[in-house]
Amino acid sequence: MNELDLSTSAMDRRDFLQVFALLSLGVLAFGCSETVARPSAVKSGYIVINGWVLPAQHFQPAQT
Amino acid sequence: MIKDYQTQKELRDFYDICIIGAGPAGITLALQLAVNGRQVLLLEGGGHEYSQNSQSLYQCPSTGLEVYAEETRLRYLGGTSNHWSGRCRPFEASDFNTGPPVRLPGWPIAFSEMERHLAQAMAIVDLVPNASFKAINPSLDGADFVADRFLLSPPTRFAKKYAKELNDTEGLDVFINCNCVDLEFNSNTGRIETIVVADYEQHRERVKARQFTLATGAIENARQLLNSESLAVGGIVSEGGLVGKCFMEHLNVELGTFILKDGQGKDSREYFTTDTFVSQHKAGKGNVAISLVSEVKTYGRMAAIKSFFENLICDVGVEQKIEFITKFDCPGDGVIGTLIEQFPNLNSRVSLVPERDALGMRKATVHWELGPADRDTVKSIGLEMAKCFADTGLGLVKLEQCVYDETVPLKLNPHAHHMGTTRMATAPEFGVVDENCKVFGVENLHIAGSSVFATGGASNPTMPLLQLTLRLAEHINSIS
Repeated sequence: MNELDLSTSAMDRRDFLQVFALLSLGVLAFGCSETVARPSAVKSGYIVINGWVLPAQHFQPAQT
Repeated sequence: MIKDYQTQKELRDFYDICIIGAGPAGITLALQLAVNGRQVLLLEGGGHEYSQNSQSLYQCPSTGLEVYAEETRLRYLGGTSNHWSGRCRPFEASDFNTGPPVRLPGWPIAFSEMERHLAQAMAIVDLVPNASFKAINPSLDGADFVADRFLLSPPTRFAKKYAKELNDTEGLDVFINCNCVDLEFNSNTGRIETIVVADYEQHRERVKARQFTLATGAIENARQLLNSESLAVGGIVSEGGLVGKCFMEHLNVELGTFILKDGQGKDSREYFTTDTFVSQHKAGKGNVAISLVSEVKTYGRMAAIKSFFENLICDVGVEQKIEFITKFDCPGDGVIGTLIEQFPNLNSRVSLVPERDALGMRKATVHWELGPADRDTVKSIGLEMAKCFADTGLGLVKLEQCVYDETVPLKLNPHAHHMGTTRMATAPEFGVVDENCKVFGVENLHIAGSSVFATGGASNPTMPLLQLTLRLAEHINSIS
């Protein structure tokens, strides 16, 4: 029996599976959205501001 | 010998075992049984190569989340291994020791039942048996994530790699372009007496065998069972039953982007949740892949990122910091992707629609749905990974809003890992097959492949499904 060749269509479908990753990069390249920031508390000393997960210690009111 | 049923109607009168579906599971099972002296028939609906008339039989409308049911599968000899990426990661003991946090049990078999077939399964996909699964990066500090460990198969294209064995193994008949269109169940004997096969001209005939095995993938295995009127009449398949239910995928979620504290890195990283994390958060498992963008060319980007870190720690007012962070708009150093476990969910299912395909079988539809526990898993993994970034001084993560805010629809894609539609359980209230992959209520029908997965973990399914197939071959050899 002849050795089987992989069809072009199958190769196309392999490319299809890569599209998911490319879409991710596309989002990245066009930067972040500017939704209104609303800090939300996360346990263990972190807060989320506009998606950024940041140490809460940087957002303590200034000591007097 | 491989024969084309379209032109060679040379089926024997009787076989010891008939296997429906010639993908990785079907091919592996057929070879294991034939070398043990069994008369084996392996049926493949497609041909040697991709063809539209075969592939169109996979048309499958969907509701719920988009599962790309036609595009992610391939209907020809070798099955979906023809576009497999080759990533191999074994199940862990905890996948079997701990049930999911939903009202369904986990695996009914011990981890050792899988583990003892690992070396042979590795050899089948061209990995060195007993080779160590390797990490590509060091682990993170803390108890939540370790470096993920995996190996890459070349990848093995089953039809190509095993062509000689499929042709030359004594006792094995392989028929391509031979479609199973009915399973004929006899309620008096409790057995599948015959199946009906058809070519593309609708020529039909019956096949007799002592044992039958479905190995057509998670969507088609359920579809074959649901299409059989005699199984419905016999009460094996019913509306309230489990056939088709608990369809699972691995969640491919864009968690977000990140900036690195010490400038742009070069190497991607992969992490995996620890058992401690899973237990503490009552979450599923997950791989987190940190991919760096090779070239981010934006004028002033590095200065902007430096400014971000400086503003974060400097002594300005809280309101000012929040305003600055809100307005920060700069490409990150990379993206964070995932392969996350989905828990079994009765609402996530394969069922039939009234429309029939070219061979007269009712088409399947997939409704892929996540449960609240899955959203919790995504949220826990996203937040804890982001905190690890900051804790270890690696950088900072900006999560997609849908990750931490469950009121926002989750943005995700599938991984083409279809699992769970004929799940394994100790009793029919919880599954479709028993511990030996035998369909409850049918004496001589087994199921091979990831459709029997009770839970899916966060391991790529091909190698584990081969481990189960080797175990199934052992069982069928012992009873036939």
